[in-house]
Amino acid sequence: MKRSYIKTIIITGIIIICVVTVMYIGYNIAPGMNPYSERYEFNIPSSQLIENIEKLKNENQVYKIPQIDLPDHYDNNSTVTRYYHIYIYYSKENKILHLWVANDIENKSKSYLNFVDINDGLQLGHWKKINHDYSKNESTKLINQFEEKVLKKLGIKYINKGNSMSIF
Amino acid sequence: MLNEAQPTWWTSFFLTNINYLMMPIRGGCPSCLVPSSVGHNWFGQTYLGPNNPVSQDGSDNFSYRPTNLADYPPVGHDRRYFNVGASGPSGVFLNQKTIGADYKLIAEEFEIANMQGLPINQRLTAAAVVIGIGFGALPKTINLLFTQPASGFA
Repeated sequence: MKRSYIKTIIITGIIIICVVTVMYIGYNIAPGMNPYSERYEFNIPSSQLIENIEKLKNENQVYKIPQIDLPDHYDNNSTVTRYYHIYIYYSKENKILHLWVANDIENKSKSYLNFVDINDGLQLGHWKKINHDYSKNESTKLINQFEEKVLKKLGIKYINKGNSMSIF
Repeated sequence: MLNEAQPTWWTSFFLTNINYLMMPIRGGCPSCLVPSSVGHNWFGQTYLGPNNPVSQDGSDNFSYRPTNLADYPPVGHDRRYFNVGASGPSGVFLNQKTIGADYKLIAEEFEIANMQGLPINQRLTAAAVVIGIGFGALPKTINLLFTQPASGFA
């Protein structure tokens, strides 16, 4: 009786260790691009979403990046899906926000917007990833600020899907 | 006999970072690699992990040539994930669209892990990927085989 009890504990322990190890490796490999980015789902095609964001940028000149040449553009890393990179400037905070927009693979009437990282100042190359390089509190604050300053102004319904590093 | 000129460390450094060094003259190079963004993953790897090198414009940059052989297959793996719109552990554990990409990575890393004469750290890195991705992708593979046996893999 006691022996089978110990056996069960050992087997359970081994299973837990194996699961934790696989999860640990999975988290450290974390493939794909920008898994830390905050993901938003929209029920409109990406072309329409891009159009709306560009319209917002044109109407609010404070969102346009001064001095440096950093146009919004399509990504050349993917041969199948077209990812559109967008940059928004917070003039008061002197920060550049980097986002990308893509269509859902199966449902073309659905699109995703990813809030990837923030560059401090106008000198490029000082990017800090959201949900990674900032503390949890700072990330939440920046995400809320982004939703208030940009997403809510678009006037389109969205769902915050969190980041890809969390599976639960 | 002619001696073939060997590049010195400073010429190699200059050639590797020419775009970055030319930035002040050119007035910026948004698609150039940010050298400080290299090697921020597990065991100092470049592409094997969530922190890929970035360009000046913040987008992922695949122009850096890794020194560890086990670091090459993740480049293709990342791109395949990108193509199906997947990323992170949720892509490995739950997304069935990435099964093809995962098993291709396993096959490539398995080959590296079995290469004779390769430094042991490179072989061990490749073996860790085979085990991690192999077991990580197993539940979704079994699920796909039982739910849609005739669907095949992407």
